Amino acid sequence: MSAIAHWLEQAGISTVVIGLVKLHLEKIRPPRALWVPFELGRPLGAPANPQLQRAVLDKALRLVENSDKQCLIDFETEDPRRIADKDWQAPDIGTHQAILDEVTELKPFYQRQCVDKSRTAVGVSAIAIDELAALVDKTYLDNEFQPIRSDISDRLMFRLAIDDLKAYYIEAALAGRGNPSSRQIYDWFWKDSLLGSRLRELRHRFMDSDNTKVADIGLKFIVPHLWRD
Amino acid sequence: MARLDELTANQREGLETLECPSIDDAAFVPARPLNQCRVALISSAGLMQRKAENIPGDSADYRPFDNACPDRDILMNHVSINFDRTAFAEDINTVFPRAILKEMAEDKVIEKAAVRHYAFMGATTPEKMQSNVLRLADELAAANINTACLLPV
Repeated sequence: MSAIAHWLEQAGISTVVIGLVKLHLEKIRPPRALWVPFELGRPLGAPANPQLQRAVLDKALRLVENSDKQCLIDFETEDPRRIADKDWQAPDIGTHQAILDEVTELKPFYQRQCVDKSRTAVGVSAIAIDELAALVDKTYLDNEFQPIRSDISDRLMFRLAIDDLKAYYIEAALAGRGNPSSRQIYDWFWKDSLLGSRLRELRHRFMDSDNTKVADIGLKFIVPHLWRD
Repeated sequence: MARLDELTANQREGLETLECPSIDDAAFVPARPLNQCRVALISSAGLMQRKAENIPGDSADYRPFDNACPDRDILMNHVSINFDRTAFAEDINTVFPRAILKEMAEDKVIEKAAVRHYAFMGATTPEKMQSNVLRLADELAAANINTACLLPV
């Protein structure tokens, strides 16, 4: 985004970058940048905290008014949601043999969150969640990708399926009492859910494949760095 | 956290060794009073509208989001799995703060929030995006937008 800032500025548009990786801001030196001390993926900081979000946006945009040369400043306030919430309770998902059953058990939690927030981040695959769960169950049993959509490859379909399933589990996890950190939610997902454990196993199986495209999916696109084993 | 010492060794190495573009002819638009800024947001989160075509992982193009497109119809289709998505799932303003910007316009802190905001696929090499960025600059100028707030994830 820092390079984009340079090109827009050359075209006469004032820019400010709200950046998460200070090293990149220092290397590319966009015209104006605010470094924020937040987790990758949340440049405005904590969810459900419009005061903090406004403070970030305000401080960034004021650089357009106050700076007459290249500048990089820090946003000092931390994200309060980086701290684990001891009152948060993960959904109790019991023990299942199939991801489809686990998804069914989580449905009331997911639906409550959808109603509370009037939106869902599930939908990139454009396939119903039960069908996605069944797809991963079958992939786990057959050890190969399954066809669903004719317009995209089975590999891409699998990636979109797990993106939607992860979003579904995240929203189910957010439905309970408390304000969990991302680490709490992801620890629950990767360590306690059947889907998390099966995806970690599938990652290794795919990485062992002779098909380099399948191996690449396992290597890069299933389990984030922090939860790899 | 985005502090490098708080990331895994693999993730840290990836960010430290990522090739960064070198911009030789850096430009700088003179300072402008905030209450004269007409602002558009540009995210790198690989956002797509619900039911739109998926974004290829190496896409250099951008997607527009008119204010008529509600938050509930904006999804994240970024190819990377190595950043937090819980905040986006809970509150889209952590990534694409259209509501916060609109509030700043209503409070007359800025002159205007754009009626159209934008998103790229941030995993794409910046050099591949350059021609599209120039097209976007023309689009912003035509819409009388003079300021862009860029939001990497």
